[in-house]
Amino acid sequence: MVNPVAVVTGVGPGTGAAIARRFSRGGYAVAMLARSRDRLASLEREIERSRSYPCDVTDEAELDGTLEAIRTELGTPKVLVHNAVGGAFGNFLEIDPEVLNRNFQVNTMALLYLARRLAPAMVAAGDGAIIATGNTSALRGKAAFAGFAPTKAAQRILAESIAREVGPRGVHVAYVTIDAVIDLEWTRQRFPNAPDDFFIKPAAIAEEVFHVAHQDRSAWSFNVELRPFRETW
Amino acid sequence: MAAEPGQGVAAVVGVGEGLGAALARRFAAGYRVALVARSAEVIEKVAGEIRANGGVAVPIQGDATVEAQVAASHERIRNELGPIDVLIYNGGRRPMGRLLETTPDVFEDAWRLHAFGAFLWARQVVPDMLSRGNGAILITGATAGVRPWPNSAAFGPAKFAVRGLAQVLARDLHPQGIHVGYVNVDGGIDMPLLRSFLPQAQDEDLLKPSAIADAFWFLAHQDRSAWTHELDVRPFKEKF
Repeated sequence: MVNPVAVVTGVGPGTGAAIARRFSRGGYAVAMLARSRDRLASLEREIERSRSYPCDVTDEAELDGTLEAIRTELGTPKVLVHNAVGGAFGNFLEIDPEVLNRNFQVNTMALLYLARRLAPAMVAAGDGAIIATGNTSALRGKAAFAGFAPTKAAQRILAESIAREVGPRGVHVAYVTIDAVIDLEWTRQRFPNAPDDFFIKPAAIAEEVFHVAHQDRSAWSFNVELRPFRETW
Repeated sequence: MAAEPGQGVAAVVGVGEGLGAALARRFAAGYRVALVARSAEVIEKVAGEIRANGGVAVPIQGDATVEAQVAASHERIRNELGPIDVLIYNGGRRPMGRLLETTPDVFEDAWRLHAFGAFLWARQVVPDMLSRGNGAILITGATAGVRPWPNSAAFGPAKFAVRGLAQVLARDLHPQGIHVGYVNVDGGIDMPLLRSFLPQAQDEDLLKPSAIADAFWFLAHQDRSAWTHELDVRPFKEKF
């Protein structure tokens, strides 16, 4: 049997790696995209049926080459998880305006580039899933997120627009809103006194992404919010 | 699926031929199940099916809008099955009508069934859940609780009310270990009554009760580091 193919962008040590592991465990060949060649190489050794594709998802020409290599080496992707994220802290006076533009390229434009290239084959097959991972910045703009929240809001609306276009043709698009601090090395350093309960586990996020990608098409979710039980909102 | 009752107890309040029956069947795969409804016919039939499949199911006749009956139903479930781990409030029936077509009785009944009943049932089950520090309360929602049509003069406000209650309960109870989920069913559910209204509907236009029940099951078993409060489910073809 040929393994279905999942493309995961933004594969770092946290959520991206957990998503790659979950899809691998679910029988997928996983194409892992990120800029860091070294990190991908070590994950490739660890995760069965995974393959690393170092790539800048904001560079259309590079993305074309990468997707062509994935199709040749693994097959036509059935699932896209756009997890790559560009972020920044700072209010609108503090940020370099170019930061907003750069984050927009990673968070929103890359989703557009990827979906435009991958959705047609999914539509032709009448099957497939496109899932973007987001956070509460997609729903509200806090003062210190001026260089970030506008791009996540745009990403969510783009995903919704794609969902309404390709959903009726059998391709499931969903937006997973992570309303929490993810349990990572750098977030533990930032919140050294926070208990385990404060964080959302990357493996739990990955479980949800995998579940959403496999819902029966008579009952698809678009908005999927996740938060730890203790989180206030 | 063959039922394999586990240690836990799930109560489905509001069991008709459609979603309620599917929820009871789905949870019977891991729980002893109480099926609660006003009329005996469907709950006895579905409970009989579950038992024939090796599960544990008890039909409980009771009106969710009457406090004394809710308390009595809850007491019976506690005595016969044990304390409730998962409460599913699936108050059904959708009165249709615009403002001038909707009588005050219809408006009040809709609110009682969809919102007040959920409030009464939550008050019954929460003390046991709090003493254990876990549990799940899952509520069936509808498009009308998010974006009502003009002919939902009674149903829309009732669903807004229960959705508001669900948000209050979530913010109150999540930090205490009780997961509160609101499943917004955004489309028509495939069941005989709806088919009779929509004879031209294709299978793919409607939500399968078993697929919605899978969404409830998944919510009830999420890792508590990543809980979903509101979840929308709709058929792939549905406009939204």
